[in-house]
Amino acid sequence: MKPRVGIFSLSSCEGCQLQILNMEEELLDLVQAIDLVSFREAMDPISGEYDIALVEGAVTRESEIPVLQEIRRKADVLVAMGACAAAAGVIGLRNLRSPEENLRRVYGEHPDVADDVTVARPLDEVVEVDYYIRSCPIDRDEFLHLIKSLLMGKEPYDPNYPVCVECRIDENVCLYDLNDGEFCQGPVTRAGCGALCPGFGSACMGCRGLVDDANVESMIDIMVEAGIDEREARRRLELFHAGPEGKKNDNGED
Amino acid sequence: MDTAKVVGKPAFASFIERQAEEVSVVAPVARAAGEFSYGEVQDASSLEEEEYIPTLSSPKKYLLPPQEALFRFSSPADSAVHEGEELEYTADVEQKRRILLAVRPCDIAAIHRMDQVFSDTEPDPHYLARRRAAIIIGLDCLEPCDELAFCAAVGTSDADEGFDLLLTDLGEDWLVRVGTDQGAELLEECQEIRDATEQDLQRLKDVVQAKEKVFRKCQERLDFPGEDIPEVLEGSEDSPVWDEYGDRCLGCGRCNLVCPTCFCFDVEDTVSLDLKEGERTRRWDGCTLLEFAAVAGGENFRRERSDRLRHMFLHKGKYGPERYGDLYCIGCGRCARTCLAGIDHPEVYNALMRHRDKGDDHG
Repeated sequence: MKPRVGIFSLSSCEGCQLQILNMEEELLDLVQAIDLVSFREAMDPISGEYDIALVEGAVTRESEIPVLQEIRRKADVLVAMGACAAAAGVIGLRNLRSPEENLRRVYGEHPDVADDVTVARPLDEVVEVDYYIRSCPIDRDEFLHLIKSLLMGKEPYDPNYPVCVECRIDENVCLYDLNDGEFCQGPVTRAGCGALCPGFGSACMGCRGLVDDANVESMIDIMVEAGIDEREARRRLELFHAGPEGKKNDNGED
Repeated sequence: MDTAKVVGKPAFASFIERQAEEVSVVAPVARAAGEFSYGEVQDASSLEEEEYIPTLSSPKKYLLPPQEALFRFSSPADSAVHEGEELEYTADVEQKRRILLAVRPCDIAAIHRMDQVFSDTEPDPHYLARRRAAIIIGLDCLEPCDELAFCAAVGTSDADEGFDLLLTDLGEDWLVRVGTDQGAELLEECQEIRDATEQDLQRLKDVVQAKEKVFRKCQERLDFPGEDIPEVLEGSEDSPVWDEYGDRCLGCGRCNLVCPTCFCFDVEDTVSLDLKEGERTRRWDGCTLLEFAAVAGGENFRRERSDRLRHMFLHKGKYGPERYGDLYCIGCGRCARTCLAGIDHPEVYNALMRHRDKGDDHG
């Protein structure tokens, strides 16, 4: 009756799992509503069978591919959880250099200690993904929204409008008006976070990924006008989604 | 009702302070970077703010909050809300008495337009309850507040209606025009107030006349009379102007969200984890956002940013006037001020006019 839910982790900091564990007020209600059968951060696995799989982390090693494919095969619904799973996240920055160069830089004389490293990929470059919970780390309310939607058989709502929407509603003074060196990516970044960073005076770094029709060139113009050089503006836009785009733009520079 | 009173500024300030002890009084409050936003105040200092520019959000937010619960629902049986049982519904309608203080003529005009929309067809109980509980004390602008404003071009730099009280600065005194019975009743609590004399009315006339000259530059931001905007938009659908501005537009919705006459909202149902109760909320939406015109099945009637930008202009400048007789742009310039791509409404209207004159539109 209750759906069986497994929570899995590929290459990541496991911070998204921690966000679930941090939902102290809701955890008891949550385990009333679903059967948690696998959740490495919190417990020993109860079962290898599940209906819904939530997967955090990016695919960065050959050995992770069959693991993810197995999860996909077993689960009716597969959810990419967090920036790494949804868009390769910070791990995707490695794609700006070749895997060999990364290994040499990190492991020096002993690059063979990690011999199956690949480019970093979001889950949907390897298997079909049904839904996404974005941001780094995930937002607890969005996790609950997804669970509730799946329980009701509804499509979970995934905001596809920019952070500026939430920031204007909160009437934050725009960081571009304050003009204190913050190069906010809010105008092209997916909302859903409640404009958390700009609300505290920090630039949006784009952890939720680009909105579907992001006008990146106009965004670059705005950042350049605010006093940043174009190359730096492009670099900043890559912080959380250098994954597929980063590979295409690889120019061999740092 | 059209009576006028005169009151010394200190006496009026005391009156506002006393009101603030009883009811919520909101007015423009200074923020960082020279910005203002409406917030709760305890005194009348907002009336004498010399550096005022239009607030980040307009006072609309007190009548149509950015997000609000429309109603709650619960399942009477031991079933979940989506399992087909008859649900129970409850709704709270907010009726908190609130004084909107120092509302500028443009925003008074905007509230009048919101009243039209939310009274039309299905009257909106939430909006109208808040509106009935609101008292508008307007403040006439004696000079343009912001270089991006073009209120004088669209006829909203003076307010003739839509306020309960309207204040005009006569130096030591306020001249108070009474717009409604509610305003007259409120003013009974104000001390040291007297009827305006012929001399006072002459001073008011002089001040209002002087505005015409002071606002000329504001008026000339638009190359043609504001009442011609619907005509300029007529047949502009294929104008290359939309592509030009669409290329710059971020499609971020900022213009919609700060606009005092944007009334569109989206609704969403949220439920508790046990799925036995929930609520329907609405929140502001914006026609320049990608999914605004998306429908079931995945079709999107305005997928291009230029299409969405055009729609916004058409709604303000053509559809609004066609339906209600008023321009739905009140010339406050908030959209241009917030637009990171620098899209300025009078500039767009002027470009449309130039293209039309050159005859390179197909419409």
